[in-house]
Amino acid sequence: MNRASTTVSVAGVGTAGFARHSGVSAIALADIALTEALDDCGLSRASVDGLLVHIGSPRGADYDTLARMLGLYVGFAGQTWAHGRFTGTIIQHAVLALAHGLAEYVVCLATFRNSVWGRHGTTGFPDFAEAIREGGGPHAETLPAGLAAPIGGAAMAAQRYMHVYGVDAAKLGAVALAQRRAALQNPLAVMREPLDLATYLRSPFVVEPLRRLDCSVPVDTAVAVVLTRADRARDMPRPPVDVLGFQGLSAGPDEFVFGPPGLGVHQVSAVNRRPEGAAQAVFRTTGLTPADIDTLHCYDGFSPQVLWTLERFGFCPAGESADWVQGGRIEIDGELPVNTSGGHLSEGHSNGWGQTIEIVRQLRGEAGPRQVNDCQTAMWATTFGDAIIYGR
Amino acid sequence: MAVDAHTVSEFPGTGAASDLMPSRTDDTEAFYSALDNDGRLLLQLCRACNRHRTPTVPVCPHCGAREFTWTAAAGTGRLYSWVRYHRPYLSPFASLTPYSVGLVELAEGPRMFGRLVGIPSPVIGMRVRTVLERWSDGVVVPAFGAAEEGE
Ligand SMILES: [Zn+2]
Repeated sequence: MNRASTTVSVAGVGTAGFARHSGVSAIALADIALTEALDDCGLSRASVDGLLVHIGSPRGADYDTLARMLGLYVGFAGQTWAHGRFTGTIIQHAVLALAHGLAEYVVCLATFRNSVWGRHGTTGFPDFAEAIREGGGPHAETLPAGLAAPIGGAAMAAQRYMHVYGVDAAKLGAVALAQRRAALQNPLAVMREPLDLATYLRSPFVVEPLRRLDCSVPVDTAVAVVLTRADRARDMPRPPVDVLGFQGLSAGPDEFVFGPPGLGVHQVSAVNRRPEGAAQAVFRTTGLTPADIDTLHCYDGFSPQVLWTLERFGFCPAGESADWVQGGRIEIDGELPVNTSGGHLSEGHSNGWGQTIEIVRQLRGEAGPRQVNDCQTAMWATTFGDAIIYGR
Repeated sequence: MAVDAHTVSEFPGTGAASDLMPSRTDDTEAFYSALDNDGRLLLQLCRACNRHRTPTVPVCPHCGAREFTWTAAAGTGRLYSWVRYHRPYLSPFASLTPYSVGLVELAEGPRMFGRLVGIPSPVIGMRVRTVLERWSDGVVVPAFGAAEEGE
């Protein structure tokens, strides 16, 4: 039982926005986001005593550099590996730290400037080395075979998935179209031209079967999220958003980072599946079910990840998500609005932080034209198995 | 079971495989030197649970045992999934783009990634066989071609 998690709330959020080319440093972006988040909850920098950083150097900046440059004096700090998948983990660590008295006000900070780097996984760039670590990269990179970059593993999983379940390109396209329609209502989104299916299907392959419009848009951004104990948050300016429960990131022989368990990609078993749907810890410990979630936000570096998240967390049965997302079901006024800010595919690739502030805005009723009607619960969930349920 | 060494052909791209290889360790040296020197694709066979595995690791991911023997892969398998690179991320493959990479389920059980050679239209489930490619720096890399009748 995640009993401690019921006592922590998000008190403030801020962002430097999302830009293809910001023209400013990762530190400057972080300063903009931090300033906005502290203004949002009425705190000064002197009150902050905890700092958790996602995406360190070289794409962003490390926790010690950020604390020094931004004038934060903290007695609790942490930082995760410079990968997109640790958004939920960072928030979870903040909740645990606050529940155990390690800090009173924790700032979760993600800052990164992608525009100064080449395409992720390309020969010669600073993060290239990780593709040859420990016998292969984290997304199945096997460079002598020509399997390079995160998209390689994602495309391999997508091809197998589409074959096994008979999913065609037009059905997959519904994900990119839905998120673009959401982005049209989000002034911060970088992709704001209307998108139709014909345009999607004309979009060139990057690594077949994935097209350019199945891929997230690299951006420069920073996001800051301030968390504190719920009793304090109730005396702060903005309506608190409570962390109702969570479950951690999954890893192991039955997990491949860019594919659902049981699909058999890489060396993963084609038989073993982890607990799914309402059997998962995030639902068991909160007493909620997928039907109780008003809006879902998920990691969408590549569009099939949205389908796999829906299946993994029981919003629909395995293999049925491509049919399930047709007909506007995941759009803002649909049965389950998904990634209502446009997500990584259209708002810009923020490693999940854009979705995190969108969750807060939806639960505060601040989402303007993309506001989900009577939004009481919102969920962050990923293909990687982690999840957080927020509520008001 | 005796397995013949596989045919080794010349890699048609440009560059050194060693620039792209994970560094060789005590755990992996036998695997790589068998490829380079003998044209043999070795798999680890766990002495405890009798399952083959690749890539090379010192501990069985299935049962945790450390004892294993090396066995030579028959080299046959079925295409489990595949992708086609329309953009080069790696300079040695630039002149080959678009090129395809397969995930092959070997007859012995483990799955292995390899460039697909001479398969213009890959189909999941098709039978393939190992075709090793020697790069300009002498490093031999497993790839896969279409299996012939009866393989
Ligand atoms: Zn074993």
